[in-house]
Amino acid sequence: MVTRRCLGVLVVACVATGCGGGIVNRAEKSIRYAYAATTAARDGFVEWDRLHQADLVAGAANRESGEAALAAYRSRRQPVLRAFTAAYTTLAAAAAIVPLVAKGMRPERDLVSLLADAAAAVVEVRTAVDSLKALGGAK
Amino acid sequence: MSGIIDGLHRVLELSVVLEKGLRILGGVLHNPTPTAAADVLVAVRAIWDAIEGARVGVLTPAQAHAALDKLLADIAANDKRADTALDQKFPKG
Repeated sequence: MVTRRCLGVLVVACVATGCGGGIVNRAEKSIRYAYAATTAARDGFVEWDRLHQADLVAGAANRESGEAALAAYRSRRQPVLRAFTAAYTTLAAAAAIVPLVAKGMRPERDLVSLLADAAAAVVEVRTAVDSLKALGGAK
Repeated sequence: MSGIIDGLHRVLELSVVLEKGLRILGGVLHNPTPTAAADVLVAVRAIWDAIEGARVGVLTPAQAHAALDKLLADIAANDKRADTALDQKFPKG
């Protein structure tokens, strides 16, 4: 939440200080960066998830404990999947609004707000993934 | 000031990609197998795609949705793989 507010302040300050010209081009670039960061994080997480679940199976003493370990891990994994979903959804929304802003059909502030949301969402993805990994998946 | 936003995205992007690449490379140093070598190629490709992809082109909403769909599909595949492995380790009945 703090991150979201800080990013919002930064973006609003940007517009207020008159750097709104050419915002569409900068927005497209920023969206692309955020998308690349999110996708790199996605690929890394998918691989980690695969290996971690294999570890859980390998470490299971019996079927019941194995099923319990997998179920518990998958429950703890939900915040990560929600973070990715929020990030990609926000990026899609930002990407959708760019051409509308370029045509003057939507105000620039809408795009600025979505950019702040997208940046915060990327940070949230990393935070969620790091938290899960810090727990070691909490075997 | 707008450079701050671009800079933030660049830092986020590179930190994520480099973390992934270094993690894989670190693993290779301890386990120099053909599979690990393939992981290096995947890491290099990921780094290249991330940087090049960020530099060119415009993201479309469809691409973002497709990326999310791929995540969910890959996770579902991981779950199925783990369930199958558990079934093989502890056969039912």
